[in-house]
Amino acid sequence: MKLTLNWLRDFVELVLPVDELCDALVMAGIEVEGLDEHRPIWSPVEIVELVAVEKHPNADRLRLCTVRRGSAEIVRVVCGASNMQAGDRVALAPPGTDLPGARRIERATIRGQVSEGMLCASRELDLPEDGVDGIMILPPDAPAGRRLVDYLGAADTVLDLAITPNRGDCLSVLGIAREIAALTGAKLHVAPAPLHEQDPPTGSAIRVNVDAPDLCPRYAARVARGVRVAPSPPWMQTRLVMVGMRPISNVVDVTNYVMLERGQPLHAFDLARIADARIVARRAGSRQSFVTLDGVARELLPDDLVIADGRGPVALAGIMGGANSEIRPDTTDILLESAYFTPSGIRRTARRLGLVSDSSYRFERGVDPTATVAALDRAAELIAATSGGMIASGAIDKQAARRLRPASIRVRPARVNALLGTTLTAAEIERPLRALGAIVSGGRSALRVIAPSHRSDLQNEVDLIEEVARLSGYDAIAAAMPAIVAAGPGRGPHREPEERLRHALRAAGFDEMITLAMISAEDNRVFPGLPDLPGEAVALQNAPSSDAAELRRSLFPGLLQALDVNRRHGEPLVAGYAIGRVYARHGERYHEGDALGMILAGEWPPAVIGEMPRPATFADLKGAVALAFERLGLGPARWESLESEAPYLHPGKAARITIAGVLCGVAGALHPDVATARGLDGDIWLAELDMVRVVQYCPRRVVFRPLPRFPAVLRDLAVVVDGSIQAQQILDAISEVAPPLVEEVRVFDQYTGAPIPQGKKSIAYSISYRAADRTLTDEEVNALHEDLVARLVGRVPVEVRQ
Amino acid sequence: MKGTLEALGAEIETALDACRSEDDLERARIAFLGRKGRLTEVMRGVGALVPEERPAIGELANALKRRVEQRIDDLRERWKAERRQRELEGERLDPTLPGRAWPYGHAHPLTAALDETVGILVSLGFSVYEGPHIEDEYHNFEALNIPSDHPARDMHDTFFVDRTHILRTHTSPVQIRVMENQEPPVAAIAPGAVFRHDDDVTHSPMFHQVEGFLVDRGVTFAHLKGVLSLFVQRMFGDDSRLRFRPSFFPFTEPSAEIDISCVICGGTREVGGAACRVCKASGWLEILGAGMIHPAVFRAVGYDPEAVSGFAFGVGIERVAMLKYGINDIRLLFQNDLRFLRQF
Repeated sequence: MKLTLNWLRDFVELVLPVDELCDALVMAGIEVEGLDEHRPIWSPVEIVELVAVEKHPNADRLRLCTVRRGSAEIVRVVCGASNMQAGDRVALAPPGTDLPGARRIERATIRGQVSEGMLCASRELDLPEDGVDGIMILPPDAPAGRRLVDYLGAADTVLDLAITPNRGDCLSVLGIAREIAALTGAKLHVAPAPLHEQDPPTGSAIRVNVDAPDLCPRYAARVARGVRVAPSPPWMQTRLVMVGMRPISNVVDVTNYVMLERGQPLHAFDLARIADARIVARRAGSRQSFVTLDGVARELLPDDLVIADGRGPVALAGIMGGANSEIRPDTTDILLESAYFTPSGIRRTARRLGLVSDSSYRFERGVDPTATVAALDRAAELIAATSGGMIASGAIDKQAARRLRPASIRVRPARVNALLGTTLTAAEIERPLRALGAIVSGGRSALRVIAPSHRSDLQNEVDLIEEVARLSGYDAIAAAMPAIVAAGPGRGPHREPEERLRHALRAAGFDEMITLAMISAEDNRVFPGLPDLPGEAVALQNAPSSDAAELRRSLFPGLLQALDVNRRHGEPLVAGYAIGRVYARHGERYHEGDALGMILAGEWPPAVIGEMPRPATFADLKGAVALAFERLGLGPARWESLESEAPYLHPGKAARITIAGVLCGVAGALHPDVATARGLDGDIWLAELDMVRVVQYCPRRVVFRPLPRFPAVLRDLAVVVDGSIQAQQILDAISEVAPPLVEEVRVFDQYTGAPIPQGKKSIAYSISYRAADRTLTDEEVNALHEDLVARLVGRVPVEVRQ
Repeated sequence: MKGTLEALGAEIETALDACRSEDDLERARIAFLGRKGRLTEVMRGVGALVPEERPAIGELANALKRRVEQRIDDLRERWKAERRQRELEGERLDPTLPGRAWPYGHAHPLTAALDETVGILVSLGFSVYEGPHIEDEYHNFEALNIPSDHPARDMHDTFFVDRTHILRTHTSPVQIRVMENQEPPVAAIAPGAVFRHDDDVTHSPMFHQVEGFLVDRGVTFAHLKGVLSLFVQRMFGDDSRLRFRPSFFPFTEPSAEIDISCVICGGTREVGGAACRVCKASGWLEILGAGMIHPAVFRAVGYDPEAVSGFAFGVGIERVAMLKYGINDIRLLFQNDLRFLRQF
């Protein structure tokens, strides 16, 4: 919210320099987001009276103007405009005046005539556009001789303040002035509006009824007759523009001005267009369409509060007026509304319609229910002053039977100190509350506090404790360390394994990535996550874009996007991992679990000078996963060919990873067709693991295994098998027939080509024999091995190579 | 005889000096020391000498032989060493060529900042809890004293999932979930992703927070100041200064926003004579929101606000990382540009 220092000075003396004032506001919870000093460089510009306007003797399009300056000095000025006449008040830039755009006015001779300065147009002074073709014509009461900058109030400082949602009372100049008074001890002064009322009374022009006192506890109105709708006076326009509001007309500007000044939203109706001279504050009663003054048709629900006349709604109460009753250039009689509408009702309607106005914003945050008529009178005063209207005598003021009354709140000094960690006395607690305008009574063990009517946020003891802390200053509370003794899971069960996993993957050369949880529906369709992830994708009802329409089921889309980003600037290798949540909907329930995603594409490992770079392979990826598993202390994981569970992977270059028979992840090459569709090429290796399952199989602790005391004896076994047989199948078969003294079987070579027949391959295994209690002899091992080979041949179709 | 030996000695010296290769040397050795070599023959002649002369001449001859053998060995050794030296010099590498870029992955700056935050708070006695990202409105709003018609909901641009579910807009619902399941005392932190519908260039729709709260008998605002001061000093250095400003959150009262002295200008508001751009010449940077847990929140979880009190705070991890590393654009944190990630 913007306001100006001079406007504040209308209500309170500013005893602090501006930077200290800003600090004081910040430390009281009102953030100063901007401070903008307006110091027009054209300050010498003066209001003068035009005495005579003549044609320039030597130029058809120029005028020779005689003006009287404040000093009664008469000077002559040459002017190119023609919209002025003798008697007008105009703005003279005397010689020596600087104007925006690096112009300097000097005494000049123009076509033989001396010109003692320049008469200014509003745009030459960067003032609000007045729509006039020519120079600025000021109101007849503008005092000749006064500096224009003072007359307009154009030299001022604008503060931009951030007001928290609980402080509706601060959404006005008066509200901030009150706060400054409480903070600095300066006195607040609010002059009553001097009103010249004229019969016939308001009641003869309009009748007001409130049919929905729950939504409209108070409704006040006045009538002004004989109004002339015109631009508002320059000083008012200047202020409105400074605080970011567009001037419209004197009547509308007054309602805005008073709203900004007092925090009370007002509305002006064209009285002639109020049917049956009757206003009712009531529920809409039925679904209907209503055109607000911005020209938009709004759908009303039966419970929405409207202001209606004899025909129907004329305003969406507290939010926006209707097009059917708005002030027009020919309006002469107006009805001014000032009301208190219930915050929740306004919010409900405004939210549903997506219509936030300056008015609804204030009503939602609570206006002062006791200031309704004061603001109305202030507006009436300004209407009379700026538009020549006559104010009908008496204000209409309809109030609900049950008045809005501030609560009486008990404040226990002991409680204040217990919550703040302070040792304040009752008197020290009372002082800031009184500064706020609260009425404080009561004794030592508890104070009785009645909050001021504008502070609807003060309802409970804790609200007042906050006020005590706020106004005493948070700095006044000394820091202390608590003894923190509480049961709890410490770092939790999965942070530690997750950290080990991350370390392992980084050691394997994978960079950590963080990708957004929102992806496109198409990405979720292509990458539906691990084969047993249940349910369907979770869609957002108010997605920001189609690229972020759903919550991811897989980390792959994000990683592939990262690949794309990095390839675009020529990165030869992308090795990345991400740990992040994946989401699924399962009927009425939602499933969330952490997943690990990996991507590997490019040259791996990075070659040095003299080596041939080689593209990353499946083995590179598998090795990194295996390293991570090893660091997690996981038992052997099984890698098997994936069938059709992950259609986004290459059907021949993909695997499922199981631990203890449970599917924990998939790995493989991105399907070339999927890659092409995304504009990617080359082998792109991907892996995705279910972190929840992986962590579940992590041993909680490492248990030492004694070192073997006797040597192992190795025997190699090479078998020729059909090309379709996988190494693991033979390995499984060997394990099945292996005697107990076989310690380990591993694959150490694979070969195709001569002399192995076409369609066959040779796989070599290394079998390690070891006894725990003795050194095995060659004869013993030979016998065991021959037996093993014989049993293997009997079990699977292999041919043993010699 | 003696004269002959001396002459031969001189001749051998000359011959050896003339040797230029191992072959030359071998030929010289054979010529003088071989079976039919000149010195060998001379030595054979020693036996024919008169017995009185024999020992002295024999000694001379032997000494000459040893000297010549030594000389030959020395020459051989020297040439061998020189040859080895030449060989090794031929194997010279260029140590100025680049080394292998051993791939070692980098921790994401957000993870680093999150780990550090969690580490500090765990060391102070807080335990880690987690909650769902797809949260119900009750835990995200109502239980936190944010009723549906409260303007404070405007502070949260919410993503909706269905009629009752949203993406959590802060980590505060974990407060409710923990307190629903545990009696005080509770010292908890809740790290994780949160979501807001912000299209702004300075905001990301997904970002990370760490929520922390302590509930016990006698917990005060002074304790909140103590814990957060310690946290900030460990995170940003002992010379960081703090400022507690009144603010508003529906689920805490009194509420505060906490600023630290600007990490760039150190609170002096200027850098090299120009206004500091990071803190916009205010000298302060907002880093945390905090306050005393609102009695309405305690009532929602069945705690007695007259019996226990507590504080809660929330820190934005993107903000911490950006301040700590001087990152000026939040979008860099989610683009996964390796040129960025490899700096950490």
